[in-house]
Amino acid sequence: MKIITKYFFILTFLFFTGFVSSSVVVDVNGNSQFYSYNPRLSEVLAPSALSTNWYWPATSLYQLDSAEIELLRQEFLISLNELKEKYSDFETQNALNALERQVIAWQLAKRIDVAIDYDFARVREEHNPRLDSGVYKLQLKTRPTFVYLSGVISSEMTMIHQGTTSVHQYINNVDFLEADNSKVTIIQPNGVVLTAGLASWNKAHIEVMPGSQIIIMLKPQLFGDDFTTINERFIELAKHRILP
Amino acid sequence: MKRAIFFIAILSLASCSNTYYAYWDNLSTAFGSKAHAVLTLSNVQQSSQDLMYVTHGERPQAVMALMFLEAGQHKWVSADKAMLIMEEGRIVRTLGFANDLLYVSNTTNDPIRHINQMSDLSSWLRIVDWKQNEFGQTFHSSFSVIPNQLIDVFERQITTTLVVESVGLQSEANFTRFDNNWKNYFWFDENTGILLKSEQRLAPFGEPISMTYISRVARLLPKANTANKE
Repeated sequence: MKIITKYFFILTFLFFTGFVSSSVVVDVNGNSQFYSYNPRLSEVLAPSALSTNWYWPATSLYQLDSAEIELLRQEFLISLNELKEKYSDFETQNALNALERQVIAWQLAKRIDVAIDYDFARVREEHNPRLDSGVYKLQLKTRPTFVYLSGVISSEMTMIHQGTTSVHQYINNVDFLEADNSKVTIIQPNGVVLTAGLASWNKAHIEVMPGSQIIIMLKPQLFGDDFTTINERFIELAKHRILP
Repeated sequence: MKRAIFFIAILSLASCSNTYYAYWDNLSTAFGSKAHAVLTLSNVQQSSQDLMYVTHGERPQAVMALMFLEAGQHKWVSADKAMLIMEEGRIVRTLGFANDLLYVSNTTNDPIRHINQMSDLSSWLRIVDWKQNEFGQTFHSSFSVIPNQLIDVFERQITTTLVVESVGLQSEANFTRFDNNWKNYFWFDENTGILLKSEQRLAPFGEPISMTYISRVARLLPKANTANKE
Protein backbone atom coordinates (compact mmCIF):
# COMPACT_ATOMS: atom_id res chain seq x y z
CA MET A 1 0.00 0.00 0.00
CA LYS A 2 2.92 2.38 0.73
CA ILE A 3 4.29 1.78 -2.78
CA ILE A 4 0.87 2.52 -4.31
CA THR A 5 0.50 5.72 -2.27
CA LYS A 6 3.97 6.95 -3.20
CA TYR A 7 3.51 6.38 -6.90
CA PHE A 8 -0.03 7.73 -6.87
CA PHE A 9 1.17 11.12 -5.63
CA ILE A 10 4.03 11.20 -8.12
CA LEU A 11 1.69 10.34 -10.95
CA THR A 12 -0.90 12.90 -9.88
CA PHE A 13 1.71 15.64 -9.56
CA LEU A 14 3.10 14.91 -12.99
CA PHE A 15 -0.36 14.86 -14.53
CA PHE A 16 -1.63 18.10 -13.01
CA THR A 17 1.55 20.00 -13.76
CA GLY A 18 0.88 19.12 -17.37
CA PHE A 19 4.32 17.56 -17.53
CA VAL A 20 2.92 14.38 -18.98
CA SER A 21 -0.40 13.37 -20.42
CA SER A 22 0.37 9.72 -19.95
CA SER A 23 2.88 8.09 -17.71
CA VAL A 24 3.90 4.71 -16.51
CA VAL A 25 5.71 3.83 -13.34
CA VAL A 26 7.10 0.34 -12.94
CA ASP A 27 8.65 -1.10 -9.82
CA VAL A 28 11.08 -3.74 -11.06
CA ASN A 29 12.32 -5.82 -8.13
CA GLY A 30 12.39 -2.70 -5.96
CA ASN A 31 13.81 -0.31 -8.54
CA SER A 32 11.54 2.37 -10.00
CA GLN A 33 11.37 3.07 -13.70
CA PHE A 34 9.43 6.12 -14.95
CA TYR A 35 8.12 6.67 -18.47
CA SER A 36 6.39 9.77 -19.85
CA TYR A 37 4.91 7.66 -22.62
CA ASN A 38 3.48 4.14 -22.91
CA PRO A 39 6.50 1.86 -23.17
CA ARG A 40 6.55 -1.60 -24.66
CA LEU A 41 7.22 -4.53 -22.39
CA SER A 42 10.70 -5.05 -23.91
CA GLU A 43 11.67 -1.50 -22.96
CA VAL A 44 10.60 -2.06 -19.38
CA LEU A 45 12.51 -5.34 -19.24
CA ALA A 46 15.65 -4.05 -20.97
CA PRO A 47 17.50 -2.55 -17.96
CA SER A 48 17.30 -5.82 -16.01
CA ALA A 49 16.72 -8.57 -18.54
CA LEU A 50 20.31 -9.63 -19.06
CA SER A 51 21.68 -9.12 -15.57
CA THR A 52 20.68 -12.57 -14.32
CA ASN A 53 19.49 -15.87 -15.74
CA TRP A 54 15.80 -15.12 -15.06
CA TYR A 55 13.25 -17.91 -15.08
CA TRP A 56 10.85 -16.20 -17.47
CA PRO A 57 7.78 -18.38 -16.76
CA ALA A 58 7.89 -17.11 -13.16
CA THR A 59 7.97 -13.46 -14.16
CA SER A 60 4.77 -11.56 -13.47
CA LEU A 61 3.40 -8.08 -14.04
CA TYR A 62 0.80 -6.49 -11.79
CA GLN A 63 -1.08 -3.25 -12.08
CA LEU A 64 -1.08 -1.64 -8.64
CA ASP A 65 -3.46 1.25 -9.27
CA SER A 66 -6.47 -0.88 -10.15
CA ALA A 67 -9.20 -1.44 -7.56
CA GLU A 68 -10.63 -4.40 -9.44
CA ILE A 69 -9.01 -7.20 -7.46
CA GLU A 70 -9.62 -5.61 -4.08
CA LEU A 71 -13.31 -5.44 -5.00
CA LEU A 72 -13.16 -9.12 -5.91
CA ARG A 73 -11.65 -9.87 -2.52
CA GLN A 74 -14.41 -7.97 -0.71
CA GLU A 75 -17.09 -9.72 -2.76
CA PHE A 76 -15.50 -13.07 -1.95
CA LEU A 77 -15.47 -12.33 1.78
CA ILE A 78 -19.09 -11.25 1.68
CA SER A 79 -20.04 -14.45 -0.14
CA LEU A 80 -18.05 -16.45 2.36
CA ASN A 81 -19.88 -14.88 5.29
CA GLU A 82 -23.20 -15.71 3.66
CA LEU A 83 -22.12 -19.33 3.36
CA LYS A 84 -21.02 -19.37 6.99
CA GLU A 85 -24.52 -18.29 7.99
CA LYS A 86 -26.09 -20.85 5.71
CA TYR A 87 -23.92 -23.89 6.62
CA SER A 88 -23.49 -24.17 10.34
CA ASP A 89 -21.89 -27.61 10.65
CA PHE A 90 -18.45 -27.62 12.22
CA GLU A 91 -16.54 -29.10 9.26
CA THR A 92 -17.86 -26.56 6.77
CA GLN A 93 -17.36 -23.66 9.19
CA ASN A 94 -13.78 -24.80 9.73
CA ALA A 95 -13.13 -24.98 6.00
CA LEU A 96 -14.70 -21.62 5.27
CA ASN A 97 -12.76 -19.98 8.09
CA ALA A 98 -9.54 -21.36 6.62
CA LEU A 99 -10.33 -19.78 3.24
CA GLU A 100 -11.21 -16.50 4.92
CA ARG A 101 -7.96 -16.35 6.91
CA GLN A 102 -5.91 -16.98 3.79
CA VAL A 103 -7.66 -14.50 1.51
CA ILE A 104 -7.50 -11.73 4.12
CA ALA A 105 -3.77 -12.21 4.45
CA TRP A 106 -2.95 -12.37 0.74
CA GLN A 107 -1.16 -9.54 -1.03
CA LEU A 108 -3.25 -9.04 -4.16
CA ALA A 109 -2.96 -6.92 -7.29
CA LYS A 110 -4.33 -7.16 -10.79
CA ARG A 111 -2.08 -9.53 -12.66
CA ILE A 112 -1.65 -8.57 -16.30
CA ASP A 113 -2.36 -11.55 -18.51
CA VAL A 114 0.73 -11.54 -20.72
CA ALA A 115 3.48 -14.14 -21.20
CA ILE A 116 6.69 -12.34 -20.27
CA ASP A 117 9.90 -13.27 -22.03
CA TYR A 118 12.46 -10.67 -23.05
CA ASP A 119 13.69 -12.61 -26.07
CA PHE A 120 10.24 -13.44 -27.39
CA ALA A 121 9.10 -9.85 -26.80
CA ARG A 122 11.84 -8.60 -29.09
CA VAL A 123 11.02 -11.06 -31.84
CA ARG A 124 7.25 -11.37 -31.73
CA GLU A 125 5.24 -8.18 -31.48
CA GLU A 126 2.25 -9.97 -29.97
CA HIS A 127 4.45 -10.73 -26.94
CA ASN A 128 5.44 -7.08 -26.60
CA PRO A 129 2.38 -5.02 -25.67
CA ARG A 130 2.46 -1.39 -24.67
CA LEU A 131 1.69 -0.68 -21.04
CA ASP A 132 -1.31 1.54 -20.37
CA SER A 133 -0.71 4.53 -18.13
CA GLY A 134 -0.56 3.44 -14.54
CA VAL A 135 1.53 2.02 -11.75
CA TYR A 136 2.96 -1.46 -12.09
CA LYS A 137 4.99 -4.02 -10.25
CA LEU A 138 7.20 -6.36 -12.29
CA GLN A 139 8.61 -9.38 -10.51
CA LEU A 140 11.65 -10.95 -12.13
CA LYS A 141 12.63 -14.25 -10.55
CA THR A 142 15.30 -16.84 -10.88
CA ARG A 143 14.07 -20.43 -10.87
CA PRO A 144 11.72 -20.63 -7.88
CA THR A 145 12.52 -22.99 -5.06
CA PHE A 146 9.09 -23.44 -3.55
CA VAL A 147 5.49 -24.35 -4.26
CA TYR A 148 2.61 -22.90 -2.26
CA LEU A 149 -0.33 -24.89 -0.88
CA SER A 150 -3.57 -23.16 0.05
CA GLY A 151 -7.29 -23.79 0.20
CA VAL A 152 -9.23 -25.98 2.61
CA ILE A 153 -6.28 -27.00 4.72
CA SER A 154 -5.73 -25.89 8.30
CA SER A 155 -3.00 -23.45 7.29
CA GLU A 156 -1.16 -22.49 4.15
CA MET A 157 2.07 -24.31 3.45
CA THR A 158 5.24 -23.52 1.59
CA MET A 159 7.04 -26.62 0.35
CA ILE A 160 10.34 -27.12 -1.41
CA HIS A 161 9.89 -27.91 -5.11
CA GLN A 162 10.85 -31.49 -5.96
CA GLY A 163 11.96 -32.52 -9.42
CA THR A 164 9.94 -35.07 -11.41
CA THR A 165 7.43 -35.16 -8.57
CA SER A 166 3.72 -35.53 -9.17
CA VAL A 167 1.35 -33.17 -7.39
CA HIS A 168 -0.02 -36.09 -5.35
CA GLN A 169 3.25 -36.41 -3.51
CA TYR A 170 3.07 -32.81 -2.29
CA ILE A 171 -0.32 -33.32 -0.67
CA ASN A 172 0.09 -36.87 0.65
CA ASN A 173 0.54 -35.86 4.27
CA VAL A 174 -1.45 -32.64 4.20
CA ASP A 175 -4.40 -32.44 6.57
CA PHE A 176 -7.48 -31.73 4.44
CA LEU A 177 -10.53 -30.07 5.91
CA GLU A 178 -13.86 -30.47 4.09
CA ALA A 179 -11.96 -30.90 0.83
CA ASP A 180 -12.50 -32.24 -2.66
CA ASN A 181 -10.48 -35.45 -2.68
CA SER A 182 -10.89 -36.03 -6.42
CA LYS A 183 -8.82 -33.15 -7.78
CA VAL A 184 -6.65 -30.15 -7.04
CA THR A 185 -5.99 -26.97 -8.98
CA ILE A 186 -2.47 -25.94 -9.95
CA ILE A 187 -1.78 -22.29 -10.81
CA GLN A 188 1.60 -22.14 -12.50
CA PRO A 189 3.66 -19.00 -11.96
CA ASN A 190 3.03 -18.07 -15.61
CA GLY A 191 -0.69 -17.91 -14.82
CA VAL A 192 -1.66 -21.18 -16.50
CA VAL A 193 -4.33 -23.03 -14.50
CA LEU A 194 -4.41 -26.83 -14.50
CA THR A 195 -6.58 -29.44 -12.85
CA ALA A 196 -4.91 -32.58 -11.54
CA GLY A 197 -6.95 -35.67 -10.69
CA LEU A 198 -6.32 -37.35 -7.35
CA ALA A 199 -8.75 -40.24 -7.33
CA SER A 200 -7.98 -43.71 -8.61
CA TRP A 201 -10.22 -43.10 -11.62
CA ASN A 202 -8.64 -39.80 -12.72
CA LYS A 203 -5.14 -39.85 -11.32
CA ALA A 204 -2.29 -38.92 -13.66
CA HIS A 205 1.33 -37.92 -13.22
CA ILE A 206 1.11 -34.13 -13.24
CA GLU A 207 4.29 -32.32 -12.29
CA VAL A 208 4.35 -28.89 -10.75
CA MET A 209 6.28 -25.97 -12.24
CA PRO A 210 8.57 -24.35 -9.66
CA GLY A 211 6.77 -21.44 -8.03
CA SER A 212 3.29 -22.89 -8.56
CA GLN A 213 0.32 -22.69 -6.23
CA ILE A 214 -1.49 -25.93 -5.39
CA ILE A 215 -5.06 -25.29 -4.32
CA ILE A 216 -7.17 -27.76 -2.37
CA MET A 217 -10.81 -26.93 -2.96
CA LEU A 218 -14.01 -27.28 -1.02
CA LYS A 219 -15.78 -30.59 -1.44
CA PRO A 220 -18.54 -30.06 -4.02
CA GLN A 221 -22.12 -30.45 -2.91
CA LEU A 222 -24.35 -33.21 -4.22
CA PHE A 223 -27.10 -30.65 -4.72
CA GLY A 224 -26.41 -26.97 -5.24
CA ASP A 225 -23.37 -25.11 -6.47
CA ASP A 226 -22.54 -22.76 -3.58
CA PHE A 227 -19.22 -24.45 -3.00
CA THR A 228 -18.37 -24.66 -6.70
CA THR A 229 -18.85 -20.92 -6.97
CA ILE A 230 -16.73 -20.14 -3.93
CA ASN A 231 -13.99 -22.45 -5.26
CA GLU A 232 -13.98 -20.58 -8.56
CA ARG A 233 -13.73 -17.23 -6.79
CA PHE A 234 -10.91 -18.47 -4.57
CA ILE A 235 -8.95 -19.63 -7.60
CA GLU A 236 -9.62 -16.34 -9.40
CA LEU A 237 -8.20 -14.42 -6.45
CA ALA A 238 -5.21 -16.75 -6.20
CA LYS A 239 -4.31 -15.89 -9.81
CA HIS A 240 -3.78 -12.30 -8.69
CA ARG A 241 -1.74 -13.15 -5.66
CA ILE A 242 1.71 -11.57 -5.31
CA LEU A 243 3.99 -14.37 -4.14
CA PRO A 244 7.48 -13.96 -2.67
CA MET B 1 2.59 -24.09 -30.49
CA LYS B 2 3.33 -25.26 -33.93
CA ARG B 3 6.60 -26.82 -34.97
CA ALA B 4 6.68 -24.64 -38.07
CA ILE B 5 10.21 -23.49 -37.28
CA PHE B 6 11.60 -25.65 -40.02
CA PHE B 7 9.27 -24.66 -42.83
CA ILE B 8 10.67 -21.66 -44.64
CA ALA B 9 8.03 -19.11 -45.57
CA ILE B 10 8.36 -16.29 -48.02
CA LEU B 11 8.32 -13.28 -45.80
CA SER B 12 7.00 -9.87 -46.54
CA LEU B 13 8.79 -6.94 -45.14
CA ALA B 14 6.52 -5.22 -42.65
CA SER B 15 7.02 -1.66 -41.70
CA CYS B 16 7.55 -1.42 -37.99
CA SER B 17 8.76 1.31 -35.71
CA ASN B 18 10.40 -1.07 -33.27
CA THR B 19 14.09 -1.48 -34.07
CA TYR B 20 14.05 -5.15 -33.12
CA TYR B 21 11.29 -5.98 -35.56
CA ALA B 22 13.01 -3.92 -38.27
CA TYR B 23 16.22 -5.84 -37.66
CA TRP B 24 14.35 -9.13 -37.90
CA ASP B 25 12.84 -7.99 -41.17
CA ASN B 26 16.37 -7.46 -42.48
CA LEU B 27 17.23 -10.99 -41.46
CA SER B 28 14.37 -12.41 -43.47
CA THR B 29 16.27 -12.31 -46.75
CA ALA B 30 18.78 -14.74 -45.25
CA PHE B 31 16.22 -17.44 -44.60
CA GLY B 32 15.61 -18.30 -48.22
CA SER B 33 12.40 -19.29 -49.87
CA LYS B 34 12.71 -23.02 -50.44
CA ALA B 35 11.55 -25.78 -48.14
CA HIS B 36 15.03 -27.33 -48.00
CA ALA B 37 17.32 -24.37 -47.56
CA VAL B 38 20.69 -24.43 -49.31
CA LEU B 39 22.91 -21.36 -49.52
CA THR B 40 26.05 -20.89 -51.57
CA LEU B 41 29.39 -20.23 -49.91
CA SER B 42 29.40 -16.85 -51.60
CA ASN B 43 25.97 -15.97 -50.17
CA VAL B 44 27.05 -16.94 -46.70
CA GLN B 45 30.37 -15.11 -46.89
CA GLN B 46 28.57 -11.97 -48.03
CA SER B 47 25.88 -12.18 -45.39
CA SER B 48 26.13 -9.58 -42.65
CA GLN B 49 24.38 -11.95 -40.25
CA ASP B 50 25.77 -15.19 -38.89
CA LEU B 51 23.79 -18.13 -40.24
CA MET B 52 23.39 -21.80 -39.49
CA TYR B 53 21.60 -24.74 -41.05
CA VAL B 54 19.19 -26.54 -38.78
CA THR B 55 17.37 -29.81 -39.19
CA HIS B 56 14.93 -31.19 -36.66
CA GLY B 57 14.19 -34.88 -37.01
CA GLU B 58 13.09 -35.63 -40.57
CA ARG B 59 11.98 -32.09 -41.37
CA PRO B 60 13.56 -30.11 -44.23
CA GLN B 61 16.73 -28.18 -43.57
CA ALA B 62 16.16 -24.58 -42.55
CA VAL B 63 18.35 -21.55 -41.97
CA MET B 64 18.51 -19.68 -38.71
CA ALA B 65 20.15 -16.31 -38.20
CA LEU B 66 21.99 -15.02 -35.17
CA MET B 67 19.79 -12.24 -33.83
CA PHE B 68 21.38 -11.53 -30.46
CA LEU B 69 24.77 -12.22 -28.94
CA GLU B 70 24.50 -11.10 -25.35
CA ALA B 71 25.06 -12.17 -21.77
CA GLY B 72 27.13 -15.11 -22.95
CA GLN B 73 24.35 -16.48 -25.13
CA HIS B 74 23.86 -16.90 -28.85
CA LYS B 75 20.20 -16.40 -29.76
CA TRP B 76 19.21 -17.78 -33.14
CA VAL B 77 15.91 -17.03 -34.85
CA SER B 78 14.06 -18.82 -37.63
CA ALA B 79 11.85 -17.55 -40.41
CA ASP B 80 8.76 -18.14 -38.29
CA LYS B 81 10.31 -16.48 -35.24
CA ALA B 82 11.12 -19.52 -33.18
CA MET B 83 14.37 -19.32 -31.25
CA LEU B 84 17.23 -21.51 -30.11
CA ILE B 85 19.26 -20.02 -27.28
CA MET B 86 22.72 -21.45 -26.75
CA GLU B 87 25.65 -21.13 -24.42
CA GLU B 88 28.96 -22.17 -25.98
CA GLY B 89 27.08 -24.37 -28.44
CA ARG B 90 24.77 -26.02 -25.90
CA ILE B 91 21.03 -25.42 -26.39
CA VAL B 92 19.82 -24.06 -23.03
CA ARG B 93 16.41 -22.70 -24.01
CA THR B 94 13.93 -22.82 -26.86
CA LEU B 95 11.03 -20.57 -27.79
CA GLY B 96 8.20 -21.40 -30.12
CA PHE B 97 8.50 -25.18 -30.01
CA ALA B 98 5.60 -27.47 -29.10
CA ASN B 99 7.29 -28.22 -25.78
CA ASP B 100 9.82 -25.51 -25.04
CA LEU B 101 12.98 -26.15 -23.07
CA LEU B 102 12.71 -23.64 -20.22
CA TYR B 103 15.82 -24.11 -18.14
CA VAL B 104 19.13 -25.96 -17.84
CA SER B 105 21.09 -25.70 -14.59
CA ASN B 106 24.84 -25.79 -13.98
CA THR B 107 25.74 -24.59 -17.47
CA THR B 108 28.98 -22.99 -16.31
CA ASN B 109 30.33 -26.48 -15.63
CA ASP B 110 29.40 -27.89 -19.02
CA PRO B 111 32.59 -29.54 -20.33
CA ILE B 112 31.67 -28.48 -23.88
CA ARG B 113 32.82 -24.99 -22.86
CA HIS B 114 36.35 -26.23 -22.26
CA ILE B 115 37.16 -28.87 -24.84
CA ASN B 116 40.89 -28.36 -24.35
CA GLN B 117 40.45 -29.72 -20.85
CA MET B 118 38.08 -32.49 -21.82
CA SER B 119 38.95 -36.09 -21.09
CA ASP B 120 37.17 -39.39 -20.66
CA LEU B 121 36.79 -38.44 -17.01
CA SER B 122 34.75 -35.32 -17.83
CA SER B 123 31.15 -35.40 -16.69
CA TRP B 124 28.20 -33.07 -16.28
CA LEU B 125 25.11 -33.20 -14.09
CA ARG B 126 22.19 -30.80 -14.50
CA ILE B 127 18.46 -30.44 -14.01
CA VAL B 128 16.17 -29.44 -16.82
CA ASP B 129 12.65 -28.00 -17.12
CA TRP B 130 10.27 -28.22 -20.09
CA LYS B 131 7.06 -26.28 -20.50
CA GLN B 132 4.79 -29.32 -20.72
CA ASN B 133 4.75 -31.19 -17.44
CA GLU B 134 8.44 -31.99 -17.00
CA PHE B 135 10.19 -30.10 -14.22
CA GLY B 136 13.45 -30.97 -12.56
CA GLN B 137 14.63 -33.89 -14.71
CA THR B 138 18.22 -34.81 -13.85
CA PHE B 139 20.59 -35.69 -16.67
CA HIS B 140 24.13 -36.99 -16.44
CA SER B 141 26.69 -36.82 -19.25
CA SER B 142 30.03 -38.41 -19.91
CA PHE B 143 32.25 -37.52 -22.85
CA SER B 144 34.70 -39.04 -25.28
CA VAL B 145 36.95 -37.26 -27.77
CA ILE B 146 37.65 -38.56 -31.27
CA PRO B 147 40.17 -36.58 -33.37
CA ASN B 148 40.48 -36.38 -37.14
CA GLN B 149 36.82 -36.62 -38.06
CA LEU B 150 35.81 -35.15 -41.41
CA ILE B 151 32.63 -33.19 -42.03
CA ASP B 152 31.31 -32.01 -45.42
CA VAL B 153 30.21 -28.40 -45.73
CA PHE B 154 30.02 -26.40 -48.97
CA GLU B 155 31.36 -29.50 -50.77
CA ARG B 156 34.56 -29.29 -48.81
CA GLN B 157 35.89 -31.64 -46.19
CA ILE B 158 36.91 -30.08 -42.92
CA THR B 159 38.92 -31.89 -40.29
CA THR B 160 37.38 -31.75 -36.87
CA THR B 161 37.63 -33.10 -33.36
CA LEU B 162 34.44 -34.91 -32.48
CA VAL B 163 33.16 -34.88 -28.92
CA VAL B 164 30.60 -37.57 -28.23
CA GLU B 165 28.40 -36.94 -25.21
CA SER B 166 26.62 -39.90 -23.66
CA VAL B 167 23.52 -38.64 -21.85
CA GLY B 168 21.51 -40.58 -19.31
CA LEU B 169 18.41 -39.77 -17.32
CA GLN B 170 19.08 -39.91 -13.60
CA SER B 171 15.56 -39.35 -12.29
CA GLU B 172 12.24 -41.10 -12.74
CA ALA B 173 10.64 -39.65 -15.81
CA ASN B 174 7.21 -38.96 -17.10
CA PHE B 175 8.24 -40.58 -20.39
CA THR B 176 9.16 -44.13 -19.52
CA ARG B 177 8.21 -45.29 -23.00
CA PHE B 178 11.39 -43.76 -24.47
CA ASP B 179 15.00 -44.82 -24.28
CA ASN B 180 16.49 -42.85 -21.43
CA ASN B 181 20.02 -42.87 -22.85
CA TRP B 182 21.23 -41.19 -26.00
CA LYS B 183 24.21 -39.46 -27.57
CA ASN B 184 24.91 -35.89 -28.61
CA TYR B 185 27.69 -34.90 -31.01
CA PHE B 186 29.86 -31.80 -31.28
CA TRP B 187 32.36 -31.24 -34.12
CA PHE B 188 35.11 -28.67 -33.42
CA ASP B 189 37.48 -27.34 -36.06
CA GLU B 190 40.76 -29.10 -35.43
CA ASN B 191 42.86 -25.97 -35.94
CA THR B 192 40.86 -23.23 -34.27
CA GLY B 193 38.73 -25.22 -31.82
CA ILE B 194 35.60 -23.44 -33.07
CA LEU B 195 32.37 -25.42 -32.92
CA LEU B 196 31.27 -26.04 -36.52
CA LYS B 197 28.49 -28.56 -36.15
CA SER B 198 26.48 -30.28 -33.46
CA GLU B 199 23.63 -32.70 -33.10
CA GLN B 200 21.72 -32.50 -29.84
CA ARG B 201 18.74 -34.34 -28.50
CA LEU B 202 17.33 -32.33 -25.63
CA ALA B 203 15.31 -35.09 -24.01
CA PRO B 204 14.36 -38.74 -24.47
CA PHE B 205 11.09 -37.62 -26.05
CA GLY B 206 12.78 -35.14 -28.39
CA GLU B 207 14.00 -35.56 -31.95
CA PRO B 208 17.64 -34.69 -32.64
CA ILE B 209 18.39 -31.13 -33.68
CA SER B 210 21.31 -30.86 -36.06
CA MET B 211 23.06 -27.50 -36.43
CA THR B 212 25.80 -26.60 -38.94
CA TYR B 213 27.35 -23.19 -38.34
CA ILE B 214 27.77 -22.29 -41.99
CA SER B 215 29.03 -18.74 -41.33
CA ARG B 216 31.78 -20.05 -39.08
CA VAL B 217 32.73 -22.58 -41.73
CA ALA B 218 32.64 -19.87 -44.41
CA ARG B 219 35.11 -17.76 -42.45
CA LEU B 220 37.57 -20.65 -42.44
CA LEU B 221 37.42 -21.04 -46.22
CA PRO B 222 38.93 -18.88 -48.94
CA LYS B 223 36.71 -16.16 -50.36
CA ALA B 224 34.38 -17.65 -52.94
CA ASN B 225 34.42 -16.21 -56.43
CA THR B 226 31.00 -14.61 -56.77
CA ALA B 227 31.05 -15.28 -60.49
CA ASN B 228 31.17 -19.05 -59.87
CA LYS B 229 28.21 -20.98 -58.59
CA GLU B 230 29.29 -23.24 -55.70
